[in-house]
Amino acid sequence: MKEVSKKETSVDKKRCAAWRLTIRIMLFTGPLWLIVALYFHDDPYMVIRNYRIYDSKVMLNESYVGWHIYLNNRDSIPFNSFIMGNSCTMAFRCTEWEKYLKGGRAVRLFGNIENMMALYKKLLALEREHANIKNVLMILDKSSLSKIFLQSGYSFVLPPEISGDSPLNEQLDYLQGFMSPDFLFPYLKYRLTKTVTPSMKAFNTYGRIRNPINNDAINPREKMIEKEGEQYWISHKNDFPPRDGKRVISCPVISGQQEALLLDIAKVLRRNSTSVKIVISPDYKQAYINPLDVRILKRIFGKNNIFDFTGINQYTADKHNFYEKGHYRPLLGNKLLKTIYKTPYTL
Amino acid sequence: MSFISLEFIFFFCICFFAYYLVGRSYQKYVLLLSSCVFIGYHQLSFLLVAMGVTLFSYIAARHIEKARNQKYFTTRYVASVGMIVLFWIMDRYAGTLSGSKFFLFSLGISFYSFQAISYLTEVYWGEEKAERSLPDYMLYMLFFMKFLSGPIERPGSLLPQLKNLRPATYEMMTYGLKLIAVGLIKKIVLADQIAPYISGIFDAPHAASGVELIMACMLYPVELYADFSGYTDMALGGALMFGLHLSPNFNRPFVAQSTADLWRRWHMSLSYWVRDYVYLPLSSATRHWKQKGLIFSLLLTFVALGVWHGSGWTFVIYGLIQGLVIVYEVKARNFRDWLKRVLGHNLFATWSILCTYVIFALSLIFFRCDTISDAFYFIRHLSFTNYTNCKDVNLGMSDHICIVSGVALFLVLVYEFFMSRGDLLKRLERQPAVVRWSVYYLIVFTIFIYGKFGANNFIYLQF
Repeated sequence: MKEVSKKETSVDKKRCAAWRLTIRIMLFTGPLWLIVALYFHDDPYMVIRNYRIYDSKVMLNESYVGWHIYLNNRDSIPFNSFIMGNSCTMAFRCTEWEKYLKGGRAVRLFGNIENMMALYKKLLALEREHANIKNVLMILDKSSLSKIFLQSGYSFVLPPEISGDSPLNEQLDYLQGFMSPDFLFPYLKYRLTKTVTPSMKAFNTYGRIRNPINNDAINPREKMIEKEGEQYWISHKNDFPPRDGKRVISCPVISGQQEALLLDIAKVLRRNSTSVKIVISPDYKQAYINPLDVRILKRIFGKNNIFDFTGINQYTADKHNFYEKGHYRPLLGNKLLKTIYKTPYTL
Repeated sequence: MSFISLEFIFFFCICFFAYYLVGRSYQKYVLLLSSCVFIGYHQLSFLLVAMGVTLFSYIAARHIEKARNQKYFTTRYVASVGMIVLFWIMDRYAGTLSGSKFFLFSLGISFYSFQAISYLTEVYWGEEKAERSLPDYMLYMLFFMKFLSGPIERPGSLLPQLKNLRPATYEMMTYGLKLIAVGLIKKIVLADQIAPYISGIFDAPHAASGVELIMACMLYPVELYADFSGYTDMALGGALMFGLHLSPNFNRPFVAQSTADLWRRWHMSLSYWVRDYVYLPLSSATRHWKQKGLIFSLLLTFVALGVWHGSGWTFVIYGLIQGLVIVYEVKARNFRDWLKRVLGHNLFATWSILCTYVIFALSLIFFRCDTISDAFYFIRHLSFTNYTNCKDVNLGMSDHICIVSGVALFLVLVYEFFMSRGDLLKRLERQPAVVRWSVYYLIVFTIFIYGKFGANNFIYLQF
């Protein structure tokens, strides 16, 4: 009898241990829950609730915003043309592209440092939504062609409707971004003072930076150029390192896995009878993409649909076409569109 | 359900509370039911296969025990083990050979099959009695914290704990949580941060420069170690919260001074398994061949160890390289002793550690590459001269990732150094509450801020 009661006391003690641990964990995680509550209350990345207009003092996830702008407007505008790719899509305006589309209506669905896998997932998501995918303009470069894994992190994670990942995991990425001291402390400062200073990274100091209907970029640097003129390139000279004019050819980046993914993309486009134009972005450094990569792209998507603007040419020669070495201006984007839709195409 | 998923956190919390809420006599059923749910959640067929192997080995062991001193005693043992090995091979190769997606390689089968074999062998040797209680045996085979990637538990160490379940004390629970935190740092702050960059090189070696190949080759052991030992720490910590002690799987492998030493420190539950159930019986059977027998046994053992990891010649070569290097170490013992005298202890130790690491890293090329031709291409093109730009050295990782993973690796190595000198986690428990809680907050925020969530995969799940 004594044995049994001793045993029971020991079990009760262990049960107490479990409760003790639970209470301590609750106490320990109290501050964390406060941060989580603030995140859900404020929705700083605009990813918890639906919004009509995606404007914020915080830099938002472009894939998420683009997708939701499309969802918000697709009932009123019959979108059938999509600008896809990385941030260089900022040089291509939907309104400008539509001039070549014979009645087509375009929306920009891009992502920062977008790669082929994200692009493929977006096409599949459009297909699932029964979108009319009549035209696709892909803006790519060496980096976007080489990477085939979806990126994580709050700036890059795809909406779960596109990635197929669980919404909980998606929110975890945003929450992680929110908790990062680089973001959290400036955010708390912004929340207290309601002001954003240029030193606050991941914050938008420029006001509206996208068109709420088609997600065209409203680039504040265009205003700066308008205001400063030639002085812009003088004051940003560090962004334009000198070029030696030597012919540099990059290493090939498309191997087995990349090619398989490109074939999958081509399959989706064929299924939807999509007209595709692929632009390999002009590069300020004037390095050529490897001809082997271009050959593979032409074999998969058709030789008349690949437009390689890399290397030393009329488009990369003038630094006034660029904001900095990574991004070029709509001025150049318009010229490229003209070249693409001019037949026969010669560079 | 990966350990690093919200689903698993919910699942674990439910199990934990259910375990401590029910009476003692029901606790093992809570664990058993949880294990079945955990396995079946991945795919019902995985649960059925695991149940099948469990029931077969349970019945087979009782038959073997019954047949002791009878005519077909050894035949029964060999047939039972043969059946499990055959089933494991069929399960492993069915998908590969048929090319059909219908045949899925059952999760965890390599781990629980080897556990079943060790159990049958122990019963055959008379070291263990055949288990009478089916629930206890099922829990030994299916316990969810060690189901997916081990450790491969011996019946003598886990079964007695399961037969007499003792719920964890508060100290055990907090120790378990600390182990889980260490595992999370290894996995999501170190392994998952560098994994995409290393995978990028191994998946497309033809697109990489010589320097990138060298860097990927040298970093892969770190990724593999952080991934697998991180998993093991979480498994050990999670089990400890239920009052169960699982076997350690790693003991600072990167301080090994020889490949033989490395295998005493790396995936210990598997290396001791092959030592006890393959190498020792083989070397005993071939002892009349003298040194040739020893060499034969070593090579065969390591080829078996390689093949355990997967179907394909790359794994055979991976195992063979380990075996050949250990044979060399055995043969060159006199030379190594002479070198140690010439260089002095410290210099020799440093040199040996570096050599062991480099040899292991090179052999892992065969472990990681999809085909032999890719592996040979990889090795042929390792070069410091062939590079496109200085970014090749960091495999295209951002400075942020380089710093985060570099600091995490340094901290992991320092932690393990101090753990080898005395239990750092227990020492932490003796500190004032302010110090402890500050350290805990630091760890939690480090994981939250610098961890890479969403990867949800462990390398050893594929085995």
